[in-house]
Amino acid sequence: MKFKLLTIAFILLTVKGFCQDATKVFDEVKNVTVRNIGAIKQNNVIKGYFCFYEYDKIDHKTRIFKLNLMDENLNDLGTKEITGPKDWELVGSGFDGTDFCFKFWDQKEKNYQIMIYDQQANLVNSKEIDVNYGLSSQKATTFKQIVGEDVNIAGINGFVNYTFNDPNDAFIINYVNAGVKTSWEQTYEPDGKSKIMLPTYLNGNSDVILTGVSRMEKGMYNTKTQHSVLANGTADGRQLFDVSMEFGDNHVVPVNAIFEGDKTLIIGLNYKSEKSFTTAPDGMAFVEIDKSGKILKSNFNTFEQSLGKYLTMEDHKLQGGYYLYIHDIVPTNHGTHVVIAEKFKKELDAGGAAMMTLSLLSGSTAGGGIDLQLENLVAIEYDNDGNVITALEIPKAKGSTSKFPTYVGLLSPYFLATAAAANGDMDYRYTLRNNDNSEITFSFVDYERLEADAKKTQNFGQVKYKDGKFTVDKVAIKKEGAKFSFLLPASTNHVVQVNYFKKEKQLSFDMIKLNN
Amino acid sequence: MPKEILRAFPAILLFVVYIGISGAYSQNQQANPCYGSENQYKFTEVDSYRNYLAKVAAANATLLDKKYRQQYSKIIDEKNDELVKQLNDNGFLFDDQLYPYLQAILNHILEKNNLDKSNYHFFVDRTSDVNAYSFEDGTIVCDLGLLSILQNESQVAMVFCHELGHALLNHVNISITRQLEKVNSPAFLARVRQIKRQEYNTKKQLEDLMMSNVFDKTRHSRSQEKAADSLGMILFSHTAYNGRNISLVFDILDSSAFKSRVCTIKDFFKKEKFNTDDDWFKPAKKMSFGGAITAETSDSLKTHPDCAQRKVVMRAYFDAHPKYGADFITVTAEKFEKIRQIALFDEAAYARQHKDMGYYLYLLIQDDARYPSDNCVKTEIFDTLVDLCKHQKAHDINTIVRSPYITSNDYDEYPKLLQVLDRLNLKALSAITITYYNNNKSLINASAEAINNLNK
Repeated sequence: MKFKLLTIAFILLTVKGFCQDATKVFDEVKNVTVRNIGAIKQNNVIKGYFCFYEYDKIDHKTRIFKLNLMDENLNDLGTKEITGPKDWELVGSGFDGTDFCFKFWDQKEKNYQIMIYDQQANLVNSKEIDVNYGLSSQKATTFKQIVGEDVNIAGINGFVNYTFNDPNDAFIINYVNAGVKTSWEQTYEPDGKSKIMLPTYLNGNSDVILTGVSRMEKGMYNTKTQHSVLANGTADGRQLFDVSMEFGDNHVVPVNAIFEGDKTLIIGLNYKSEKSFTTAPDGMAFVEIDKSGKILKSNFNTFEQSLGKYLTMEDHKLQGGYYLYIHDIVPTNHGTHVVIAEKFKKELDAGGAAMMTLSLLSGSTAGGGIDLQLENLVAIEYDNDGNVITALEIPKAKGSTSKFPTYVGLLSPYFLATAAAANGDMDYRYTLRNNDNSEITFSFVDYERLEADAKKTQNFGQVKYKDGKFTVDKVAIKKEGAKFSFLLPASTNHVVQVNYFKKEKQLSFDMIKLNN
Repeated sequence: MPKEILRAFPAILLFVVYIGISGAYSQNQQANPCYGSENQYKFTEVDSYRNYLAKVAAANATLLDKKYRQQYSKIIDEKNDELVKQLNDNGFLFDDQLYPYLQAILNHILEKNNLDKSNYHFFVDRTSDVNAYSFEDGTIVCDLGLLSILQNESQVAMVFCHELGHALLNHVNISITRQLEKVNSPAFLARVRQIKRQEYNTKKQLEDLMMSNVFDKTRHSRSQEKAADSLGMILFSHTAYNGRNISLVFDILDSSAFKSRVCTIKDFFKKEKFNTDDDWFKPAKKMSFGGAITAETSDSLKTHPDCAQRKVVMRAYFDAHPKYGADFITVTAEKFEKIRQIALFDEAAYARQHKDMGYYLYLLIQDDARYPSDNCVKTEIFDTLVDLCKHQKAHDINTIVRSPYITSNDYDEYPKLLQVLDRLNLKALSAITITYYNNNKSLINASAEAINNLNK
């Protein structure tokens, strides 16, 4: 994203007209090019925002960049001048309570640079990671879509990054900590019958970094997977254990890990099938392990067993043929866990069915009438043992994903939902919490009237969980008069509305306060 | 030239990162709800004042080298336009108590120093900044905020003498001329051309060039402050005011950041028995991304730099040249208190006029602590709370209340109010409004609209 910085610009408060020549030249200082704007998070807590812009040229391949940080209320925190290659992009960021971490990508040189700055804006640690895959590598693209580019935060103990390593279809874990000046790297190559391994960051503290590992089996049409929880020592990266999440008929995809003294609670999606990428989960799994990875207890209640009391189930699905797509699992401040899900089902219209038949016969890949119908959000609260405390639907207007190419029409709904979620094509947006987990918010978009007599608008909705209650508030995404608007995550009571005004050539940041 | 720049005139080269957080405040021409009428903001002699400014500008330009005249005139015209705009936008106070009172103090100084009154204009700027300033045309301006912290007439007179010192020493014109000479100098222009010819590092070099200018000016401006003090002390010596403890004015200016704290926000909430959540008052953790500003830099950027040093010099002067007199000449101490109340109410009204409702509420809370039985203040607090509820419901409270900020000044209660307003949800804000109304309804003169909104 490159555009002229208009509002976030140097405004020269000067004696105007004192010298036309000098003024014109000085005015040029105002023009900078924004490379990236984004939110800085400490796990799910918004801590501030960054604006990374190109400022000046040093030579034909080196640039002076400026990295401006703002706090969660958009107050200026300071600006750091950084020299780097001309193609640099800032692709990830994080804050561990003490230091800021930024992940830069140099497309030309094909490397990532992880840089950690303290609050005086001094560079306190850095790590360069060269990638060895082609930029058009399908596997690398898939890895990026599923794993993401953001840096993960190990509590208050540094940053964890995952990178794809092509020749061996492996992944690399990089850990960097500025406080104790530690950094390590571990590479994991597919083992046994697996062809590719995908990591999911679960959690980290001063002792251990936990990673969920999904292994896809070899074979072109083989969609079987195995999952495990990998533990590396935070101090040196040494592997402590790699415990399987396969329990007979229960195949668990770990999503989150909660440290509770000497024990760790692994929460994940439970599948009765080994095809976890292509089938819908049958329920949630709660698995307790000790420090050595030994399983202490587990609960594999299916949705049908546990949700029936709260939501109407029909034929292993929610009423109306809807599946649940699990977006996030968040611990509350009172020892429970809130699962945020979205109801969806595959929809094939009459035209789409005909189109699909034709395209399958002709080999065409044109978009057909297949999409996912997106319905209400569903919040489910579990206790530590995996028992459902409450479950409820949070109403939102019906929506749909973009049309899928016809050739994927035969794929399972859950696989399509996974692809749609990876592309940000479902109505759910993100989950945030405050510092002590007493407020959890998850957001969505929908299209409906905010007032009975108003026009339909594209809206941003925030669901807040506080003191055991869920409340909803909505605001229109587009500001009146703006050419376009988009939203950035903000602290739990807010959302940042970024508006572009064409006539004024101005970009404004509005911190919108929500009512719930 | 926006008003803020006018106040820093002649402008210091500054880089400011501007983020349009909440859109421009729209001006709302309203009378002060607790004192006076809308007419008190009307200046009836705008045209003659404009002519006077033009005449002075033309006369000053003729004193300059021909090659700078056009540039000088452009700068002054812009400043004059902004001054007139501020006059037309109700930015100055012309009431029948405070304004004549301050004008009388200035007149006393002018008379005792045999200065021609027709060469000076005096205005009262309605902002709560603790400041006074002067222009090259002899216009002296005093902010309401300054009046609300000074303790007696002698201190007000000393501040005016200082500003007259600037005017008599022609500081503004000297600064502008110095700048014009510098940026038109062959060396400066050659440097600019040299930078322009380069392909790389041009912005960095230009920025460095500009920053060297900023520090140059800051240094110069500090020496001007000291010169204005010196002349100000001489001017003051000719008045009937008491100079014995006058150097204390620097302590007051130095601590001006604490000026409006009479009541903490927590105490206000406690007094009104609002149901509060401890989270509302939990201080946010301070974050930074850059070196902390050194004490020296911080001082040089202050509106009133080098206060401690200047205080010593002033005390030594009046020790060596004792100045006997009275602390109050024009009014009594009691009347002075009444005038301060006018200043406090009007600076609040000015915040409301600019739709800065968070600051308005903050000033009202302080005024409520000072004047607890004032029904107008109570009514305004209630109306403001109702207004905040209305805007919060419409999701546009950010247009009338600024975002919270973290300050290292523990005595500053304004950011604490902003934090509480930021953390309150609509339900809690409505509950507070209702509680406030119930606590104070005998003193609140609520409009039907406010009651109607409250019931919604």
